[in-house]
Amino acid sequence: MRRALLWLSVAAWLAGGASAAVQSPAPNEEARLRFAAAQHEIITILVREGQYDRVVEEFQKILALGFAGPQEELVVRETWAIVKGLMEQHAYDTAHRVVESALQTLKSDDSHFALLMLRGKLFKEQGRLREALEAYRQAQRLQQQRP
Amino acid sequence: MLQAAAQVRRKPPEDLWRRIEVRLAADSAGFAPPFGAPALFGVPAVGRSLLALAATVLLAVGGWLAVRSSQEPTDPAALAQLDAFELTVTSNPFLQAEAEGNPFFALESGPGENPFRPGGGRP
Repeated sequence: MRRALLWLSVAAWLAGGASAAVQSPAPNEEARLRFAAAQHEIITILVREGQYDRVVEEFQKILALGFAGPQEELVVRETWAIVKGLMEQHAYDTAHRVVESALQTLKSDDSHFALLMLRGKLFKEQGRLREALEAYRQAQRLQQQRP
Repeated sequence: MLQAAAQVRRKPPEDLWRRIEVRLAADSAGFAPPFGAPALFGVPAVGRSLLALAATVLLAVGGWLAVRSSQEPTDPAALAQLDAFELTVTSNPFLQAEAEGNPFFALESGPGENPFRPGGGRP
């Protein structure tokens, strides 16, 4: 526990440094990726420690970095990683909030497809088959609408 | 003597009638059906209305469950596709991207190393 807190502090400190770099007038790509990577580590620790109420807040810092275009895929993969971790801990409410945040922020159809499928898997894991199928059908509709 | 005994049986004593009346009055007060409804089969009217209410509730719940189960989605193919869909997730997606974009970052840098140092913490 003490070790995890120490790591959390180090990660937060590093994330703070990277955040300063991101907020600079010309944020470079490396600093943004490093900040996101540090956030990933923070979130991993928070999930492991069961501090689910802070997970969404830290995840939204990644979303705020404004990854766009092909880099949205990184955020989608990050969302999957977080949600899978939360599912293992049965923290379904937090997992849903993470997916919802990503859906509201990310723009591309590919991202939305992957996130809707993730939402479907999440509902299925909970035994909420009706909602699972609804998410699945939304994802399929999105895929069919693509040119 | 026999005739005298028969006379006594035909005309029971007054206190016996009084006791019978008191018993009848007590019984009718204890099981008085509301709204003048008669008690049938030994079940008081209040108990019967409770039974009817319980039966109605049970029927309603049963009906609702039947309708709900009939509407339960049964699309095993869709659920199987949902199960089959997986996105490969590396330990830290952002480090992977960093490694791909920069040849000085080792691709195989793992979570056991310090991800915040160039080269994934390698010397």
